[in-house]
Amino acid sequence: MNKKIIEATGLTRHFRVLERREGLSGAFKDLFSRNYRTVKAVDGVSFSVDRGEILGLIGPNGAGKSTTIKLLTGVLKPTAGGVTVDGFVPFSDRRRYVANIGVVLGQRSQLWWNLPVIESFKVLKEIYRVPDAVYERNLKLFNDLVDLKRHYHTPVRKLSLGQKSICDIAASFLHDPALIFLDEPTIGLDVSVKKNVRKIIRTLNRELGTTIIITTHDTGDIGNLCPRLILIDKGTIVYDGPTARFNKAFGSFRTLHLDMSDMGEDERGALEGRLAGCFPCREKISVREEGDGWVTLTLNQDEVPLLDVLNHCLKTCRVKDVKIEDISLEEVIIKSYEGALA
Amino acid sequence: MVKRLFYYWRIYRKLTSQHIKSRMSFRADFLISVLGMLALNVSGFLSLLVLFNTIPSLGGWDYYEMLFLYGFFGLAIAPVAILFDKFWSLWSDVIWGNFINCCFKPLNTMFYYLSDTVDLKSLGSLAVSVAVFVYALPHLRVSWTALKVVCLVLMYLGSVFSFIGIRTAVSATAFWMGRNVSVMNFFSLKVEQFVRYPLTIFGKPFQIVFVFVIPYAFVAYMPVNHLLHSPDVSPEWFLTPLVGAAVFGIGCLVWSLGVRRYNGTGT
Ligand SMILES: Nc1ncnc2c1ncn2[C@@H]1O[C@H](COP(=O)(O)OP(=O)(O)OP(=O)(O)O)[C@@H](O)[C@H]1O
Ligand SMILES: [Mg+2]
Repeated sequence: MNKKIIEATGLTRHFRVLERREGLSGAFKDLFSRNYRTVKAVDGVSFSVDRGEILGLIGPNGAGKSTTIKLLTGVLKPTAGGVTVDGFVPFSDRRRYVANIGVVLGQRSQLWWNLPVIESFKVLKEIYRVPDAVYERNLKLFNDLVDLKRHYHTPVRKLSLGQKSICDIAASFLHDPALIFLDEPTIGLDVSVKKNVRKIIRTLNRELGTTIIITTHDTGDIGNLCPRLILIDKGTIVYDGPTARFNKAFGSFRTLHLDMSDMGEDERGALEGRLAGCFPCREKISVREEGDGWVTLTLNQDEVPLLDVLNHCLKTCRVKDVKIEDISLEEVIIKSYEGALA
Repeated sequence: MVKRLFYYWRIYRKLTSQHIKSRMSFRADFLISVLGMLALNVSGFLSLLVLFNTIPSLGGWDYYEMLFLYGFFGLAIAPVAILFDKFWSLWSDVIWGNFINCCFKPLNTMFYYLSDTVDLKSLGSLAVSVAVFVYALPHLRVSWTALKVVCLVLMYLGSVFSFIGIRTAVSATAFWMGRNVSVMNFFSLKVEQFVRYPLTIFGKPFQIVFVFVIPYAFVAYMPVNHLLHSPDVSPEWFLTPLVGAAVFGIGCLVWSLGVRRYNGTGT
């Protein structure tokens, strides 16, 4: 068996979208002459995935993650380039290919709204012709992880978002697929459910050897699940490599949000220069105005202690509120282009 | 092939029985909609009797022949009304992205899309069509033979499949135009109200359109005309099943072109 399960070369998907003109007269003009614009949702992406790997796809909104998933699952035909998954060309061999994969789209359940959970599972068992033994084993595996039995007889429409997500993941692996694609499976879930979802994914990967491709906004998903990640932005790959290296490059970065709405604009503007003077470091502390009085500082803790900067700000400025977070994906991308991962 | 049919049948049976069960669990809604539909259909049936009684003959067809044609048309469109009801929401499923789920199952997309909905309300219209058909049947001047009965069944199947094909193609326009409610309404509320009367009452241009362009003629008029107005089975009779197969094939082709064009909007 081929060690590589996914091989994508120059995978590209463009969309032609209508540029709508404004107002009623614009809509009227649109009826007769139309302006199209090309959106390069995925633009020449090449990568491969090994059997049994967990790969994380991250990127800001509109980066092309979902489009990549749609190309890999055979929903969309590539505009150029190609991909083979487990020996299939997804779009052309769709019907045979999808028998071998599972797909979970966060926020869009593939279960039947009106059916009790267990009945949905039985229909899926029929569709994928799952042998009784496999079906029983997988349900048991799942029940040992999270107590699913409680919900067996509840119609899907009465489940909470978290319960629905868990049932959807369960449904996607009943037939022992070689790969499972998860598009933002943890979106909108609270911390404890997120943890459960991660536990399930890790266990499936370990016990059944399922290859897993997961897209997310949540860097927590990546850190806890994926040894390898691909960072995409504007349809192209910015980084493809070990999560450890990614964390080493960005793990010590913090963003510091300060509410300085009591200060004048020019006072805030002077902050960047002052910080550069007080804390000389290779990579200077970036300061960004959010426009609502909040100011965002991004700094590298390896070079300058966060607390020192915070103290300095509290002493010299009128700060009403403070929030500290990990570095945002947008900053990561800016820094990656500046060579942070090279 | 046969195994495949059984496979699809098992899935379909499972899904529809569950669907009906869950519809019935909303008991009040279910009863009211069935009763409402029955009342609507019975009143429709009565006004039909009155109407046909006042026009003794239309395009050379007498009262019972007209009723028979009407009943046959109702029977021919019943499978679509009952089993293909989800076509009405195709456009919104395409726009809002629910359709994407159909791409992830190792099944025919049209089958999977339709498989979880049955329109029980339309059973009311089916009952009325059966009643009209059975009521008119003994009054026809047809010398029945076994061959004619077989041909009638074959022609009926042809009619059913012609109608499925037309409806599929019309609904699949949603893949190109998005919201296609106006197109759906134009065909089901306008055109399909005319084609249940003898084609001869229309002008030549309409006849040509209904035979060669959108073959509604084969949904009822052609087969019924053969049965009532030609003394014996002739090769022409087999045109309806052939057209049925062809139109069904075209409908499925339009559908699959649409699915290829589907670009997963709304997810
Ligand atoms: N069906 C479509 N038609 C037109 N444009 C599309 C379509 N699908 C996606 N796009 C565009 O392609 C780009 C990439 O979209 P995609 O959904 O892949 O992003 P994403 O990385 O999943 O973003 P998010 O994190 O917001 O889900 C966006 O600019 C989007 O507007
Ligand atoms: Mg997305």
